Amino acid sequence: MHETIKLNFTKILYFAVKLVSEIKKGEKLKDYYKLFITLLITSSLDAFTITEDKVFQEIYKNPNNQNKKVLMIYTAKSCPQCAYMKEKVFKEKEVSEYMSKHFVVMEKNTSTDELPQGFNYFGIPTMFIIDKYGNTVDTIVGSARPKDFLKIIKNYSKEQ
Amino acid sequence: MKKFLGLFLLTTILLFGYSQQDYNRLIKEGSCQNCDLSDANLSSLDLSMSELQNSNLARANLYNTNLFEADLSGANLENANLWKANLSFAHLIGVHAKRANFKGVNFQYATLSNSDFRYSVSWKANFSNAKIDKCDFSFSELGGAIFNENYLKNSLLHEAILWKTYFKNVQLTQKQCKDAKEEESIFVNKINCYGE
Repeated sequence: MHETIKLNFTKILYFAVKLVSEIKKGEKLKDYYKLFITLLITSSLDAFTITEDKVFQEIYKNPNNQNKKVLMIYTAKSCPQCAYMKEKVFKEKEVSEYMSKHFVVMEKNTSTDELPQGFNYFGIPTMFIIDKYGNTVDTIVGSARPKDFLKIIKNYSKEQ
Repeated sequence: MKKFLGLFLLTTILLFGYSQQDYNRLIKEGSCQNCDLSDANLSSLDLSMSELQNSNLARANLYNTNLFEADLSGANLENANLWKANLSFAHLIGVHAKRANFKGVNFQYATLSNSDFRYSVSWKANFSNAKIDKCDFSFSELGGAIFNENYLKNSLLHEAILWKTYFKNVQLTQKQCKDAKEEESIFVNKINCYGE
Protein backbone atom coordinates (compact mmCIF):
# COMPACT_ATOMS: atom_id res chain seq x y z
CA MET A 1 0.00 0.00 0.00
CA HIS A 2 2.68 2.47 1.10
CA GLU A 3 4.95 1.39 -1.78
CA THR A 4 2.13 1.99 -4.25
CA ILE A 5 1.52 5.44 -2.89
CA LYS A 6 5.26 6.15 -2.98
CA LEU A 7 5.50 4.95 -6.59
CA ASN A 8 2.52 6.97 -7.75
CA PHE A 9 3.69 10.00 -5.83
CA THR A 10 7.08 9.74 -7.59
CA LYS A 11 5.35 9.56 -10.97
CA ILE A 12 3.16 12.55 -10.16
CA LEU A 13 6.13 14.50 -8.83
CA TYR A 14 8.10 13.73 -11.99
CA PHE A 15 5.33 15.03 -14.22
CA ALA A 16 4.75 18.05 -11.98
CA VAL A 17 8.43 19.01 -12.32
CA LYS A 18 8.23 18.41 -16.08
CA LEU A 19 5.09 20.52 -16.26
CA VAL A 20 6.69 23.44 -14.41
CA SER A 21 9.76 23.30 -16.65
CA GLU A 22 7.58 23.21 -19.75
CA ILE A 23 5.57 26.17 -18.47
CA LYS A 24 8.85 28.09 -18.23
CA LYS A 25 9.76 27.05 -21.75
CA GLY A 26 6.21 27.67 -22.92
CA GLU A 27 6.17 24.43 -24.88
CA LYS A 28 3.87 21.40 -25.09
CA LEU A 29 2.01 22.68 -22.06
CA LYS A 30 -1.33 21.23 -23.11
CA ASP A 31 0.00 17.68 -23.60
CA TYR A 32 1.81 17.58 -20.26
CA TYR A 33 -1.15 19.05 -18.44
CA LYS A 34 -3.42 16.37 -19.91
CA LEU A 35 -0.97 13.63 -18.92
CA PHE A 36 -0.61 15.00 -15.42
CA ILE A 37 -4.38 15.06 -14.85
CA THR A 38 -4.78 11.54 -16.34
CA LEU A 39 -2.05 10.24 -14.08
CA LEU A 40 -3.66 11.82 -11.03
CA ILE A 41 -6.94 10.08 -11.83
CA THR A 42 -5.50 6.68 -12.76
CA SER A 43 -2.88 6.51 -10.03
CA SER A 44 -5.46 5.39 -7.52
CA LEU A 45 -7.10 2.93 -9.90
CA ASP A 46 -4.16 0.64 -10.78
CA ALA A 47 -3.46 -0.29 -7.15
CA PHE A 48 -4.44 -3.81 -6.09
CA THR A 49 -4.33 -3.64 -2.34
CA ILE A 50 -4.50 -6.47 0.18
CA THR A 51 -7.92 -5.31 1.40
CA GLU A 52 -9.19 -5.78 -2.16
CA ASP A 53 -7.95 -9.37 -2.22
CA LYS A 54 -10.90 -11.78 -2.32
CA VAL A 55 -9.28 -14.36 -0.04
CA PHE A 56 -8.38 -11.65 2.48
CA GLN A 57 -11.93 -10.30 2.38
CA GLU A 58 -13.35 -13.81 2.86
CA ILE A 59 -11.14 -14.36 5.92
CA TYR A 60 -12.52 -11.32 7.69
CA LYS A 61 -16.11 -12.04 6.68
CA ASN A 62 -15.91 -14.92 9.13
CA PRO A 63 -16.79 -13.60 12.62
CA ASN A 64 -14.39 -16.11 14.20
CA ASN A 65 -11.43 -14.40 12.52
CA GLN A 66 -12.07 -10.85 13.70
CA ASN A 67 -9.36 -10.97 16.37
CA LYS A 68 -6.87 -12.90 14.25
CA LYS A 69 -4.08 -11.69 12.02
CA VAL A 70 -3.36 -12.96 8.54
CA LEU A 71 -0.08 -14.70 7.88
CA MET A 72 0.42 -14.34 4.15
CA ILE A 73 3.18 -16.66 2.90
CA TYR A 74 4.80 -16.18 -0.50
CA THR A 75 5.80 -19.53 -1.96
CA ALA A 76 6.89 -21.17 -5.21
CA LYS A 77 6.67 -24.69 -6.56
CA SER A 78 10.40 -25.42 -6.35
CA CYS A 79 11.04 -24.02 -2.90
CA PRO A 80 12.05 -26.61 -0.28
CA GLN A 81 12.04 -23.99 2.47
CA CYS A 82 8.39 -23.17 1.69
CA ALA A 83 7.51 -26.86 1.77
CA TYR A 84 9.28 -27.19 5.12
CA MET A 85 7.25 -24.34 6.59
CA LYS A 86 3.94 -25.64 5.26
CA GLU A 87 4.44 -29.37 5.75
CA LYS A 88 6.54 -29.46 8.89
CA VAL A 89 6.49 -26.20 10.87
CA PHE A 90 2.84 -25.14 10.48
CA LYS A 91 1.74 -28.72 11.23
CA GLU A 92 3.82 -29.12 14.37
CA LYS A 93 1.40 -29.60 17.30
CA GLU A 94 2.27 -26.50 19.34
CA VAL A 95 2.63 -24.23 16.32
CA SER A 96 -0.58 -25.50 14.78
CA GLU A 97 -2.58 -24.97 17.99
CA TYR A 98 -1.22 -21.47 18.50
CA MET A 99 -1.67 -20.49 14.85
CA SER A 100 -5.29 -21.63 14.75
CA LYS A 101 -6.07 -19.36 17.70
CA HIS A 102 -4.27 -16.26 16.50
CA PHE A 103 -3.66 -16.44 12.74
CA VAL A 104 -5.19 -17.36 9.41
CA VAL A 105 -2.70 -18.56 6.81
CA MET A 106 -3.06 -17.23 3.28
CA GLU A 107 -0.73 -18.56 0.60
CA LYS A 108 0.35 -16.80 -2.58
CA ASN A 109 2.39 -18.50 -5.26
CA THR A 110 4.74 -15.86 -6.62
CA SER A 111 4.70 -17.41 -10.11
CA THR A 112 0.99 -18.02 -10.56
CA ASP A 113 -0.95 -15.74 -8.21
CA GLU A 114 -1.60 -12.04 -8.50
CA LEU A 115 0.28 -10.35 -5.67
CA PRO A 116 -1.09 -7.37 -3.79
CA GLN A 117 0.86 -4.15 -4.16
CA GLY A 118 3.17 -3.01 -1.43
CA PHE A 119 4.23 -6.50 -0.37
CA ASN A 120 7.71 -6.61 -1.82
CA TYR A 121 9.94 -9.62 -1.33
CA PHE A 122 13.57 -10.47 -1.98
CA GLY A 123 13.39 -14.20 -1.46
CA ILE A 124 10.95 -16.97 -0.65
CA PRO A 125 9.45 -17.95 1.65
CA THR A 126 8.51 -14.49 2.84
CA MET A 127 5.75 -14.23 5.42
CA PHE A 128 3.79 -11.06 6.08
CA ILE A 129 1.88 -10.60 9.31
CA ILE A 130 -1.12 -8.44 8.42
CA ASP A 131 -3.87 -7.00 10.58
CA LYS A 132 -7.51 -6.84 9.51
CA TYR A 133 -7.07 -3.30 8.19
CA GLY A 134 -4.43 -4.49 5.76
CA ASN A 135 -1.47 -3.04 7.63
CA THR A 136 1.75 -5.04 7.66
CA VAL A 137 2.71 -5.72 11.26
CA ASP A 138 5.98 -7.36 10.26
CA THR A 139 7.75 -9.50 7.70
CA ILE A 140 9.53 -12.82 8.25
CA VAL A 141 12.00 -13.93 5.60
CA GLY A 142 13.17 -17.54 5.28
CA SER A 143 12.40 -20.62 7.30
CA ALA A 144 12.70 -21.34 11.00
CA ARG A 145 12.50 -24.43 13.20
CA PRO A 146 9.09 -24.91 14.89
CA LYS A 147 10.14 -23.67 18.34
CA ASP A 148 11.92 -20.60 16.90
CA PHE A 149 8.97 -19.83 14.66
CA LEU A 150 6.60 -20.12 17.60
CA LYS A 151 8.68 -17.57 19.53
CA ILE A 152 8.50 -15.15 16.59
CA ILE A 153 4.75 -15.37 16.07
CA LYS A 154 4.05 -15.15 19.79
CA ASN A 155 5.57 -11.67 19.72
CA TYR A 156 3.10 -10.48 17.09
CA SER A 157 -0.02 -11.82 18.72
CA LYS A 158 0.85 -10.11 22.02
CA GLU A 159 -0.29 -6.83 20.51
CA GLN A 160 -3.85 -8.05 20.18
CA MET B 1 34.01 22.07 0.31
CA LYS B 2 35.73 20.07 3.04
CA LYS B 3 32.34 18.99 4.34
CA PHE B 4 31.30 17.88 0.86
CA LEU B 5 34.53 15.93 0.39
CA GLY B 6 34.11 14.26 3.78
CA LEU B 7 30.54 13.31 2.94
CA PHE B 8 31.64 11.95 -0.43
CA LEU B 9 34.36 9.82 1.15
CA LEU B 10 31.98 8.56 3.83
CA THR B 11 29.38 7.63 1.19
CA THR B 12 32.04 5.85 -0.86
CA ILE B 13 33.18 3.85 2.16
CA LEU B 14 29.60 2.96 3.04
CA LEU B 15 28.77 1.97 -0.52
CA PHE B 16 31.88 -0.08 -1.14
CA GLY B 17 33.13 -1.83 1.98
CA TYR B 18 35.85 -3.53 0.02
CA SER B 19 39.22 -2.20 -1.12
CA GLN B 20 39.00 -1.13 -4.75
CA GLN B 21 42.67 -2.03 -5.15
CA ASP B 22 42.02 -5.57 -3.91
CA TYR B 23 38.95 -5.89 -6.11
CA ASN B 24 40.92 -4.81 -9.18
CA ARG B 25 43.67 -7.27 -8.28
CA LEU B 26 41.16 -10.12 -8.08
CA ILE B 27 39.59 -9.22 -11.41
CA LYS B 28 42.99 -8.83 -13.08
CA GLU B 29 44.86 -11.77 -11.57
CA GLY B 30 41.96 -14.07 -10.59
CA SER B 31 43.42 -14.42 -7.08
CA CYS B 32 43.75 -12.24 -4.03
CA GLN B 33 45.11 -13.44 -0.70
CA ASN B 34 44.60 -11.46 2.53
CA CYS B 35 42.34 -9.09 0.63
CA ASP B 36 39.41 -7.00 1.74
CA LEU B 37 36.55 -7.96 -0.53
CA SER B 38 33.79 -7.45 2.00
CA ASP B 39 30.47 -6.40 0.40
CA ALA B 40 31.96 -6.83 -3.08
CA ASN B 41 29.73 -7.97 -5.90
CA LEU B 42 31.46 -11.01 -7.39
CA SER B 43 28.36 -12.75 -8.69
CA SER B 44 28.61 -15.06 -11.71
CA LEU B 45 32.37 -14.52 -12.02
CA ASP B 46 34.70 -17.34 -12.96
CA LEU B 47 36.99 -17.58 -9.95
CA SER B 48 37.90 -21.22 -10.46
CA MET B 49 41.25 -22.19 -8.92
CA SER B 50 41.56 -18.72 -7.41
CA GLU B 51 43.59 -18.22 -4.25
CA LEU B 52 41.52 -16.31 -1.73
CA GLN B 53 43.21 -17.45 1.47
CA ASN B 54 42.52 -15.26 4.52
CA SER B 55 40.47 -12.81 2.49
CA ASN B 56 37.55 -10.94 3.92
CA LEU B 57 34.47 -11.82 1.88
CA ALA B 58 31.93 -10.92 4.55
CA ARG B 59 28.57 -10.00 2.98
CA ALA B 60 30.05 -10.40 -0.49
CA ASN B 61 27.71 -11.38 -3.30
CA LEU B 62 29.01 -14.62 -4.80
CA TYR B 63 25.71 -15.69 -6.36
CA ASN B 64 26.30 -18.28 -9.08
CA THR B 65 30.07 -17.71 -8.87
CA ASN B 66 32.36 -20.45 -10.09
CA LEU B 67 34.77 -21.24 -7.25
CA PHE B 68 35.78 -24.67 -8.54
CA GLU B 69 39.00 -25.76 -6.79
CA ALA B 70 39.34 -22.31 -5.21
CA ASP B 71 41.27 -21.98 -1.96
CA LEU B 72 39.20 -20.10 0.61
CA SER B 73 41.14 -21.28 3.65
CA GLY B 74 40.98 -18.82 6.52
CA ALA B 75 38.51 -16.64 4.61
CA ASN B 76 35.70 -14.73 6.25
CA LEU B 77 32.42 -15.57 4.53
CA GLU B 78 30.08 -14.34 7.24
CA ASN B 79 26.71 -13.31 5.81
CA ALA B 80 28.04 -13.79 2.28
CA ASN B 81 25.66 -14.88 -0.45
CA LEU B 82 26.93 -17.96 -2.28
CA TRP B 83 23.57 -19.11 -3.63
CA LYS B 84 24.11 -21.58 -6.50
CA ALA B 85 27.90 -21.11 -6.37
CA ASN B 86 30.16 -23.93 -7.51
CA LEU B 87 32.51 -24.90 -4.68
CA SER B 88 33.37 -28.38 -5.94
CA PHE B 89 36.96 -29.39 -5.11
CA ALA B 90 37.32 -26.09 -3.20
CA HIS B 91 39.34 -25.82 0.01
CA LEU B 92 37.50 -24.40 2.99
CA ILE B 93 39.82 -24.85 5.94
CA GLY B 94 39.33 -22.63 8.98
CA VAL B 95 36.58 -20.66 7.24
CA HIS B 96 34.20 -18.34 9.11
CA ALA B 97 30.89 -18.77 7.34
CA LYS B 98 28.37 -17.89 10.02
CA ARG B 99 24.96 -16.95 8.51
CA ALA B 100 26.23 -17.39 4.96
CA ASN B 101 23.82 -18.42 2.23
CA PHE B 102 24.91 -21.69 0.58
CA LYS B 103 21.54 -22.55 -1.00
CA GLY B 104 21.99 -25.00 -3.86
CA VAL B 105 25.79 -24.86 -3.59
CA ASN B 106 27.82 -27.66 -5.12
CA PHE B 107 30.36 -28.78 -2.49
CA GLN B 108 31.21 -32.07 -4.23
CA TYR B 109 34.75 -33.28 -3.38
CA ALA B 110 35.41 -30.05 -1.47
CA THR B 111 37.49 -30.03 1.71
CA LEU B 112 35.60 -28.53 4.64
CA SER B 113 37.68 -28.55 7.78
CA ASN B 114 37.66 -26.72 11.13
CA SER B 115 35.09 -24.27 9.79
CA ASP B 116 32.20 -22.39 11.33
CA PHE B 117 28.94 -22.84 9.39
CA ARG B 118 26.62 -21.97 12.26
CA TYR B 119 23.28 -20.44 11.23
CA SER B 120 24.20 -20.84 7.57
CA VAL B 121 21.48 -21.63 5.04
CA SER B 122 22.36 -24.63 2.86
CA TRP B 123 19.05 -25.86 1.47
CA LYS B 124 19.60 -28.40 -1.31
CA ALA B 125 23.40 -28.06 -1.14
CA ASN B 126 25.31 -31.06 -2.44
CA PHE B 127 28.04 -32.31 -0.10
CA SER B 128 28.66 -35.60 -1.96
CA ASN B 129 32.21 -36.91 -1.44
CA ALA B 130 33.21 -33.77 0.43
CA LYS B 131 35.88 -34.29 3.08
CA ILE B 132 34.16 -32.89 6.16
CA ASP B 133 36.21 -32.67 9.32
CA LYS B 134 35.45 -30.86 12.58
CA CYS B 135 32.93 -28.42 11.15
CA ASP B 136 30.20 -26.71 13.11
CA PHE B 137 26.81 -26.78 11.36
CA SER B 138 24.84 -26.01 14.52
CA PHE B 139 21.58 -24.11 13.94
CA SER B 140 22.17 -24.25 10.20
CA GLU B 141 19.55 -25.11 7.60
CA LEU B 142 20.49 -28.28 5.75
CA GLY B 143 17.04 -29.28 4.51
CA GLY B 144 17.05 -31.20 1.24
CA ALA B 145 20.87 -31.21 1.25
CA ILE B 146 22.71 -34.26 -0.06
CA PHE B 147 25.32 -36.06 2.05
CA ASN B 148 26.91 -38.97 0.27
CA GLU B 149 30.16 -40.67 1.33
CA ASN B 150 30.80 -38.25 4.19
CA TYR B 151 32.20 -38.58 7.70
CA LEU B 152 30.17 -36.32 9.98
CA LYS B 153 30.94 -37.94 13.32
CA ASN B 154 33.30 -35.20 14.51
CA SER B 155 31.20 -32.32 13.15
CA LEU B 156 28.34 -30.61 14.97
CA LEU B 157 24.77 -30.65 13.68
CA HIS B 158 23.15 -29.40 16.87
CA GLU B 159 19.65 -27.96 16.20
CA ALA B 160 20.25 -28.00 12.44
CA ILE B 161 17.27 -28.32 10.11
CA LEU B 162 17.64 -31.76 8.54
CA TRP B 163 14.21 -32.00 6.93
CA LYS B 164 14.34 -34.34 3.96
CA THR B 165 18.13 -34.24 4.05
CA TYR B 166 19.52 -37.13 2.05
CA PHE B 167 22.09 -39.38 3.75
CA LYS B 168 23.84 -42.15 1.87
CA ASN B 169 26.93 -44.00 3.08
CA VAL B 170 27.45 -41.47 5.84
CA GLN B 171 28.98 -41.90 9.28
CA LEU B 172 27.00 -40.14 12.03
CA THR B 173 26.86 -40.21 15.81
CA GLN B 174 23.84 -41.83 17.47
CA LYS B 175 22.54 -38.38 18.45
CA GLN B 176 22.88 -37.09 14.89
CA CYS B 177 21.07 -40.20 13.63
CA LYS B 178 18.22 -39.69 16.12
CA ASP B 179 17.86 -35.99 15.25
CA ALA B 180 17.95 -36.72 11.53
CA LYS B 181 15.24 -39.38 11.85
CA GLU B 182 13.04 -37.00 13.84
CA GLU B 183 13.51 -34.42 11.11
CA GLU B 184 12.33 -36.86 8.43
CA SER B 185 15.74 -37.21 6.80
CA ILE B 186 16.07 -39.72 4.01
CA PHE B 187 18.42 -42.61 4.74
CA VAL B 188 19.75 -44.68 1.89
CA ASN B 189 22.15 -47.63 2.08
CA LYS B 190 24.69 -47.89 4.87
CA ILE B 191 24.40 -45.35 7.65
CA ASN B 192 26.81 -45.90 10.50
CA CYS B 193 25.46 -44.47 13.71
CA TYR B 194 28.27 -44.49 16.25
CA GLY B 195 27.98 -44.10 20.01
CA GLU B 196 28.71 -40.75 21.58
